Amino acid sequence: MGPGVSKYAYAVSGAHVYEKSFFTKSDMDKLLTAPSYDAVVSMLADRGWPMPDDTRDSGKILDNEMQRAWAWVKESAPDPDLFSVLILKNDYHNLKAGIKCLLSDFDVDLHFVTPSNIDPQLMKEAIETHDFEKLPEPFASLGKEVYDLLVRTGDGQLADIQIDRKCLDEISKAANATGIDLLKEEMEIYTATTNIKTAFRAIKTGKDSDFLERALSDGCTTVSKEKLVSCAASEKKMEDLLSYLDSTSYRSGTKYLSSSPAEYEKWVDDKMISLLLPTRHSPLGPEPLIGFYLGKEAEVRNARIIMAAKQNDLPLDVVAKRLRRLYE
Amino acid sequence: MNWGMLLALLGAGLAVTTNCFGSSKGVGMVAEASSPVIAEDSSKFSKLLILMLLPGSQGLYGLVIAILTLTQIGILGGTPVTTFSNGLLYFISCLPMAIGGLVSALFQARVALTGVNLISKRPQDSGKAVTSASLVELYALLSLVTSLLMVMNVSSLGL
Repeated sequence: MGPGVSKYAYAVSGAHVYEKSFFTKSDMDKLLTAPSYDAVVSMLADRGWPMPDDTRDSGKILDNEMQRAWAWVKESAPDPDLFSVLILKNDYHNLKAGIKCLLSDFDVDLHFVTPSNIDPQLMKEAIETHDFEKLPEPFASLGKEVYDLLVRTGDGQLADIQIDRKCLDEISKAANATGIDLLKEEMEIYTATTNIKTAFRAIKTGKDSDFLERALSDGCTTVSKEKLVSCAASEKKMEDLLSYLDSTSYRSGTKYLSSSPAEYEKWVDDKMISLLLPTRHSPLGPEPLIGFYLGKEAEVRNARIIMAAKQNDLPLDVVAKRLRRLYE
Repeated sequence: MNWGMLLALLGAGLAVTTNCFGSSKGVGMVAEASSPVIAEDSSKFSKLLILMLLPGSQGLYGLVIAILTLTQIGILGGTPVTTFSNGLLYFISCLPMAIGGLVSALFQARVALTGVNLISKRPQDSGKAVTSASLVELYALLSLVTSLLMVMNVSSLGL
């Protein structure tokens, strides 16, 4: 029994109780074959998902459920701050969405995601008043820098890569600071696969090595940034990239990169879930809580795919292929 | 200063404190883990109660060894310990229970915690959960018997 893990007895047991309401593979199949969008909503409500007044707003339903799961983690975990890295990407998404919406007159509320470490209202206020000092670091300096950059150059892609890179760097730093191996490994996969995706797209669209140098995170250790950048500078760019990836632990995902970005995303999500399964039944420690939250995220992601399919009458077989592995 | 008596008392005290520490931590953890399950379905309380109690037995075993030691060293009876070597023998006799009890209480609690999870999902398997946790009890009992035999026979060595 490792030191400090005994304080997780209540939270881990609570997570296991909560997980009984998670969808299993067969539940997900029922959801997929439900006759209509309303039937899906009704099945979700039966599982205790909090429903907004307007159930046609699937985004709100999914956000509510993620917020409920996050609120539970914060309330039950003995040290909730350790888990804030799990939702750090939402804060960076909100910063990016907030600045872009302000400059293009879109309704920012429609583009914010929750749960987030920074209150979306505070984020909105700071961006609207250009008073980024209201935000904690590194959001304050990054927000100001990106806002100035967009006003000056109008280059949305440059702003994107600046925020995305910072996001990955900070996720990596925060995960390492927790000292939780599982969290470090999960975030390493996230950072590395995002770097791979960025490098692949950049090379495919003819970007040079300078672009990759700016866009890729320094945070991951399982994929070398230098190698990825050097692939962009070589003669046989794509060939070199794929050949390098074949020598990493991400080789099994290489084939999806070329075939379909959606399949690659699914492969990444499934890989992250697989890593959680060995510690799923641990009676103590932070690992089952990490599994709980990421497992709920996978479930909500599947619900999002199914709801979108029902709303747009997409064929079931196509949708079924997109469904993520569940935390079971 | 009677160092022998001091060592014998230290052994008795250690047998109780380490075991009570292990038991209180174990019972506390299992009780804590049981709360969310009981909050969801209070009818599972009786099944969980057995699991909560299991890591508590080591504290009692430690008390048995402590009382037995006190009855041998002249505190609650027996011949007063006057030599260092005699006191050291009593101290050593208490160690199997002090260490074995502590470790087994913590491990038993860990098994009981997985049992809480099992009962939460499949209450009909509560017997399996209790049996699994009870297996660890054997090692607490072995520690108890060893310490018991050692404490009872130290005086026969005539040191």
